[in-house]
Amino acid sequence: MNYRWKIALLTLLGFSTAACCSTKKASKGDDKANNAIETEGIDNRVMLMYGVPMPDGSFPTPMPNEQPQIVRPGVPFPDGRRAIEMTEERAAEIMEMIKTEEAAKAEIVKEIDGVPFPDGRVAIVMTEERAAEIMEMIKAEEAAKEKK
Amino acid sequence: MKGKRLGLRKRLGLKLFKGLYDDAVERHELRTLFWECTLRCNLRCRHCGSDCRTDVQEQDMPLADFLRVLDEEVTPNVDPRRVLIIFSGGEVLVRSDIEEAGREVTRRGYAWGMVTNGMSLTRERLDGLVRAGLRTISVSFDGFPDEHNYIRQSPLSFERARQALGYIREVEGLVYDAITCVTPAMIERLEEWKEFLISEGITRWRIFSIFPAGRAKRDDSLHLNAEQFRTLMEFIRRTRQEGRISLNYACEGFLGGYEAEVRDHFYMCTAGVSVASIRVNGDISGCTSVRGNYTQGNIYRDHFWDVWQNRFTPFRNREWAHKGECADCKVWEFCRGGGMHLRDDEGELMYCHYNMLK
Repeated sequence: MNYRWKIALLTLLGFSTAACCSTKKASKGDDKANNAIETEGIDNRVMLMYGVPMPDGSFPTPMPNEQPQIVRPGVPFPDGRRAIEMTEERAAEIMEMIKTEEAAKAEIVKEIDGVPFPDGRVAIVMTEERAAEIMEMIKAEEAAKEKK
Repeated sequence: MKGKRLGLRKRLGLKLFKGLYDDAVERHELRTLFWECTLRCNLRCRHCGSDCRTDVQEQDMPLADFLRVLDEEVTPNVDPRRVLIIFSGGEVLVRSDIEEAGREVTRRGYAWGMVTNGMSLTRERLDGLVRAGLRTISVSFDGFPDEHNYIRQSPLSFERARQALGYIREVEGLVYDAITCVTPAMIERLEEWKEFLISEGITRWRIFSIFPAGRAKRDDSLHLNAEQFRTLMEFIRRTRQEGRISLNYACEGFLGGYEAEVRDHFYMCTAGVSVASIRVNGDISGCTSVRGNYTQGNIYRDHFWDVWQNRFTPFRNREWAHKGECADCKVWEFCRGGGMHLRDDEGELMYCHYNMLK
């Protein structure tokens, strides 16, 4: 299973990205009651016992991160793009964009159940049963690996 | 209460996360570099993991030695924007050249931060540090005056830490958090302490509990019993649900049913995976909490980057820890024997957080 699939499944399980829930997304009841799909912002953080928070307020993480952690105005990214200074207006615009995107994603998640991908696979919404199936698949995969 | 039980959803999440962690180990991308720049300290805390001293038994590492490693070994191999340098100690502010160190690190494109007890952090000193590029800071703040001063063994320490946090909050854009070492004396007062922190305007808070290393090993009054530990977990969980203050439990160990409930992330020990440290004597290791004999090299003998790339096996392959009480543990695959800081020189587990949740 590749990285993106793992992240997608973790998100579907309610652990938005591998680094999972932020404060307000922390589980508020037992596991069964928390099967709802959460599509809130990505929170990719790890905390060190005696460390300090990262300058962007997050914590260092070993997870892949497409964006540099520190963005300074005018500093070029390796791909040639340039960082721009964040203003209140720009931040508000981005927030709006994210909200719209997430709302659209939530709609898509509702609609994708049973819809085939172009390659013939079929999207499904995560349920307890499906989770159990995947668990079995992972176990079988690991057992096969161990045999090898 | 959650306890040790893992629900299916969480177990599946942990399975998936395990794969991601394995990928991270494979890549071992350096993201955090501690520089233990001194072991000198202006306090003598009861729980100190470093066994720091007020007298000079171990000389501070000269700044030039650290910068040489940065220039010759680290910078050519990383994108400085993706690596955070953390000055740690001892108490880093006992060094008079921290501002210079900060400027040099900033000039090379790294962000840097520091952990402090706040004793020497005046408004002027903070201004100087911010001018030197300080981006993030953590202050130890262990409870009300009686509890804090007891742990820190100084009647001034509570007020100084409070004052330091006050100055820090005024600096726009400076990321910070308050770190509380929870002792039995604070367990009953956690709600009160939370309200106090909120009333002080503190928005980020981190809690840890004592593990048996350094001076704490010899002081039973600092250790939580199983019931107190459960109470602490429930408190953190409840506080996170309220959402009034950002609270996390530190990366102490695997927490069974509390995974993802008391921290923003699933448990993992990133020491030696994405975190390295250069000790005051030049030793190269994982994070500075690791006090056991897991030194992988020394900057005065070895090439740091070579060590980072080719050694660190005990950190990246934990099979050696699959023994003793971990041998038959059901959650081994998720926990991998706990944090490296919980292992003694012989590799024995000193403390199991998961077993505290019985």
